[in-house]
Amino acid sequence: MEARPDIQVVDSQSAALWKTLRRALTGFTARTLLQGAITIWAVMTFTFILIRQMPSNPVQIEAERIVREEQLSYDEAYSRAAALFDFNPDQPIIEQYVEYLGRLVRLDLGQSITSAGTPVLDQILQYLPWTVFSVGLGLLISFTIGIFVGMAMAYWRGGILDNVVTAIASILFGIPNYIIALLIILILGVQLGLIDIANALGRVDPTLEPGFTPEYILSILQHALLPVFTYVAATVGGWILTMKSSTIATLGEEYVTAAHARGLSQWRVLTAYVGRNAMLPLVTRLAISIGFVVGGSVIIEDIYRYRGLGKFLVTAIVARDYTSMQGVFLVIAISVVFANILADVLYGALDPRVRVGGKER
Amino acid sequence: MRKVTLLVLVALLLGSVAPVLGQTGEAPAGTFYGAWPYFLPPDGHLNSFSTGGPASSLGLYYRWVELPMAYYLAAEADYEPWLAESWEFEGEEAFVVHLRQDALWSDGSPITADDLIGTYAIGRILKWSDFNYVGEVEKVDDFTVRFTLANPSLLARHIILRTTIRNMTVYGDLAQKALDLYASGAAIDSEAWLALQTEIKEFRPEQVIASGPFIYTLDDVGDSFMSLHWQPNSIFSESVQFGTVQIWYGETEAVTPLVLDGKVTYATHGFPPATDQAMQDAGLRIIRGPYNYGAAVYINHDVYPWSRPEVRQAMAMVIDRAESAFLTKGLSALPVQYMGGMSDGLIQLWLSEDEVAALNTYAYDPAAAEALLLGIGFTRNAEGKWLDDNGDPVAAEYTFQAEWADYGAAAQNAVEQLNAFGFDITGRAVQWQQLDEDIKAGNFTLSVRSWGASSPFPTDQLNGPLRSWNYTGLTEGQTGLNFPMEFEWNGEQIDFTALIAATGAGLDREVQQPFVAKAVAIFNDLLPVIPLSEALTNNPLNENLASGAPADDDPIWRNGGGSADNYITYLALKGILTPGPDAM
Amino acid sequence: MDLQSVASPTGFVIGALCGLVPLIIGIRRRTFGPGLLGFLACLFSGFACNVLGGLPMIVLAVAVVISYTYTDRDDPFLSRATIEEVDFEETFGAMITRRLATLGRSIRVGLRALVRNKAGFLGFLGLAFFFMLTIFGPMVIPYDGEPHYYDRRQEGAITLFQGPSAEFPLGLDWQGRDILSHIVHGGRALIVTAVEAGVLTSVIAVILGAIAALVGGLPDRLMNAVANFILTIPQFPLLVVLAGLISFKDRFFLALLLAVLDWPTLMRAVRAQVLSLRERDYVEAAYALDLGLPHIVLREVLPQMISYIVISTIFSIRGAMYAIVGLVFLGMVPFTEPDWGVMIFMGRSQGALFSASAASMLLSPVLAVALFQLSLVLFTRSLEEVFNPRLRAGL
Repeated sequence: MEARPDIQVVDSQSAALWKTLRRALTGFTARTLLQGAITIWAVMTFTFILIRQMPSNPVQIEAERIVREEQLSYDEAYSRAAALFDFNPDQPIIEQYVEYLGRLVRLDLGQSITSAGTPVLDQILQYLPWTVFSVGLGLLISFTIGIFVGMAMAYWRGGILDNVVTAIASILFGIPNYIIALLIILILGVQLGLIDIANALGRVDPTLEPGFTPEYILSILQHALLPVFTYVAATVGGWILTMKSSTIATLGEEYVTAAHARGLSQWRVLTAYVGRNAMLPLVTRLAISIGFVVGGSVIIEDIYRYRGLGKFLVTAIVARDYTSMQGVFLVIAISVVFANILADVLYGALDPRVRVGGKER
Repeated sequence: MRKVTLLVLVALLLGSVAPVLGQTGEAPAGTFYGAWPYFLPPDGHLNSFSTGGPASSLGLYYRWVELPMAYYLAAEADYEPWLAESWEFEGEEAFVVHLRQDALWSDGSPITADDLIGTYAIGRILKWSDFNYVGEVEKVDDFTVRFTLANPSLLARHIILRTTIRNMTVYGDLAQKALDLYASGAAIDSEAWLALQTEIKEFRPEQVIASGPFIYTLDDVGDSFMSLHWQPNSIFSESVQFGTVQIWYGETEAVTPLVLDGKVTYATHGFPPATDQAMQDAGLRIIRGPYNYGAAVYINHDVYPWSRPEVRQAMAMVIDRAESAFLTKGLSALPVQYMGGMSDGLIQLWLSEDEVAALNTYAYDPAAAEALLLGIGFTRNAEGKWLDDNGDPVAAEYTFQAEWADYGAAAQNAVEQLNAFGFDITGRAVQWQQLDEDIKAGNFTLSVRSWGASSPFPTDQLNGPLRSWNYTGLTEGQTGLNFPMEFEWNGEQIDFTALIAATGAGLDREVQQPFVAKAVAIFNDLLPVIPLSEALTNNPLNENLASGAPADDDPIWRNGGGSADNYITYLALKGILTPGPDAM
Repeated sequence: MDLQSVASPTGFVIGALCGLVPLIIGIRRRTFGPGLLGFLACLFSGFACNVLGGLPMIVLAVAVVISYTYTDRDDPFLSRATIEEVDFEETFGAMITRRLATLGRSIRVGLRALVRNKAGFLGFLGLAFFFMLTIFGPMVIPYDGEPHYYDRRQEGAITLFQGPSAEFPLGLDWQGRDILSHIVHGGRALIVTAVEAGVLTSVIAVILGAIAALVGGLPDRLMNAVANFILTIPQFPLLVVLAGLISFKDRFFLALLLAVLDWPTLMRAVRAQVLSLRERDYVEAAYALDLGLPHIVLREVLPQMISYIVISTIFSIRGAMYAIVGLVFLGMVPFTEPDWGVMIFMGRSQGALFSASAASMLLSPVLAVALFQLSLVLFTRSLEEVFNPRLRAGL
């Protein structure tokens, strides 16, 4: 935040914005895409090798379950488990890799090992929307709150609002999200009985016919309440504090003083000059966060029994379902890479400095 | 022969009339609220042969949809005929099952020998363990099937009778392919075999055709609960008193608030003692049935001095099993009494009074343990710690499953008690998958795992630790406990593997009994593993939602809370359990 | 890295001996107040951390003591700039004294800044509390690690859980053990691992960032690619996988792993800063004089970035603690008791979540973790003031 943007650049109109957006878009072309593809490939290969180094394998885990429940010798259980699963533990890893890569080129993520015959893509499509919905909604809400509250605090800094909100935001920012979730269940749910835990967990009331009916949508929102609240509570502090300091920094800039001097209305200065520039670093951060929305929050989904991609991933890890794990890691990597590209594009479109000089990054 | 034809005719006649009759029946009012972590689509589907299908997904409620041939009554050690009408052994060569002729599928067609044969044809391709005992499966007539026995044993009867029969309208094509493949003489694991295996696993039927009084479709499977609906054509459709079964989704922690909130009729989850207490405070009835197994100290017999029976006997005498049981599972664990490698209840059932009296119960007695160890040349050093006869400290690492609260507690308590006696033991928590690997590889000294087995057969009980965790049942190169299965005992050469096999061989209990008594006596003396406690279920039963459950001393509770032969299955399907005031 | 030490009587003696140094210097220079304070500071830190705490504190305390006399004796109106003015004639002893005085002055200014920000000071007090709790707590409250049975089982009770009582202020856990003793003893390993992870993260990031910026070329591109790669893998799921793969018998390796996954963000910032610094005259001069990479990094780059690095380290510590507790929480790391994370895990699996009398076993560690993290975050406010003169000036 050291360089000084020119005043005239800030005054740009939407036509100019389009022009720069186009330029930013042409800037990221084949090269960016290729870089992204290489990163995705590297992550894929890395996780492919890594997850197969974990102790035990899907057949062994299932065999142990069978041993526990059905009193077979380990050998018998093993051959039965092997018959149930689509996985050959004796196949060399390089062969598995080539096979997987071959399928991947045809956009086929393969089949789940522990649930033979179920395509991994189907599994991901089953869990992904719920995670994107709950985490995404949480991110959106906390970002919006953060922007407005942060700006207001910066504007009236030193006031009661500033002090009170700063204290609350610091506290929320300091506490890990799973601790917030546990405290909600422990105190609001069990000790005080304010929340009906039995009905609040899960994703949706299964008696309702899925569809765009008010009841169904209401039920989805109702069940998402706890996780979304937790996500918001855990992240909103960070957004507020960042926005506040970013706004304070912007308020001190010369062009803001100049705008005031030119007699522009308070409101116009705040929205057109301060707000937009202060938001700049936050927007890129938002774009990057979007990439991680897909991965969900493993522990929160576990605590709230909200069956999203994160919970699914942990289940797959415990069962050593390599193909399912691999699929989830791949989807997350892809979304993170695209979110980063998005962040670059946004940054280029919004940051006057990059527009003028184009030498940063 | 004419009699059979006549019977078939009558059956067919009944079969065509019954559905018409049946459909006039109305679903009973009342809902049963169960709980189970079933599979959700797409992992969950309707193929009963594949993981994620009803058999692996629904837990005990699976048998409310597809019925087995018979139900095992543990207290009587006998079977009640369900889809089968009767059965008999033909000498030691074969086992013959006669199916009921009035049993119908939910689509109104009769349940016949073809269904049973098809079920086993597919099972053979999937390497069901039934084929350890069974050779050929042949149709005698429309309702009679003959299993030739590769390995004559009462266990064969147990396994076959408790198998559920699947519908051949659904699985017929696969069954035909399986029969053809087997008839062609294809080798196990040949390419064609594996291809058919894959085809079976990946088959996704569109519907369930049920033999039990309940049926469901994938539309009934929701993410916080799923529903089973009453259907009129089952042999239990008349008797069962519930019209709907609603199964809440979830593992222990997810289900707990529902249970405490009075929303669950019955749950099979293993609840921690604190929850047990909370359930009692909430006025729920807790059913404590046997599991027939529990926590034991596992010992690596390759490591000195643990390989000495005297050391193990001394350990058995210095670990207070009452304390151990309470810390393991609260009131849902009992201290082991007879230390014979079999559930105490089964020992009383199988051994004569004199034989039971001859067992060493290893009562808590540090003084006797002291004398025993001093007698084999062990000494205490200045700090009171034990040294073995080579002068080395009696020290070991005791590994336990980090994630298993109950076994972890058992291990930590054993460590403390052994140290109090003067051993030098360090406890260490390990991830359970890693610990399994470690034990199998013989990469441990002391650890905790189960003795016994959920099966009520002495062979399975004794084999529990010795087949799954000893070198005899493991793959090449794995030593496991490394308890030598051939040894001299009381001046006699013993082949323990053969002796345990003899406890289940043949069809005559009287012949098996002396082998059982001897194997138990040997286990009791040598303690390949040291049993500590025997686990009990702590299943909550909400009597506002279900009435009619018999008193605690009723023999049905001896059946246990497992998925097969669960007592609630019996009580519900037979109509003994009825909807309570809040379930209507 | 043996920071696992607990307060001990030996430490007390060491602390007292160390304290004599500032006290004597203080008496000789007639600054009794600061001298006495120095003695107490040495006594305290020696008590807490033995030699590891006592020796560094001697330097700090002496510096503060000298800083008083240095300005007082020569010229009461002496400005800071004058102290720093280089006198090429000065003797070695004079140079040491001058340097110490400078250091002492910074410490005093820093301490004042630390106290000025209320939120930050609160955070500092919080951290100090946890420091006292884990270092001195064990002297007062012995660890109650063995399971209990006969001695603490209440008549007819199904569990050994107990709510708070006069004898056990935080109640008993599932094995009848005193929860308070687990809170007192259970934070040390966690905090030490998190701090190790945070410090390692910064060390790796600064070194790699400086190399990337100053060397450029292939190493630069390579490190950027690796940073990109690490930032693309979802961290927590990856940790879960790695936890299954590596047996973290030694928590230090867990700290190292966390650092390996956490350095890219700071490394990029360091790289950017170094790139911009490189343009400046004194760095170019250092370059021209061929003073070497370590010199440039340590003397020119680090002081410019210290504020950013320290705060980033604190956030890394926070992130590391989040990850460690999270892993234990999911049962993915072998446990060693006592540990706050293990308490949360065991409390959860033992049903403490749904039982009023058992709630303390979960609530206590949950609040401990929350408060510690909160203190960390608040403390960064003070640090910002300490390191950032612009903020210190009142903005």
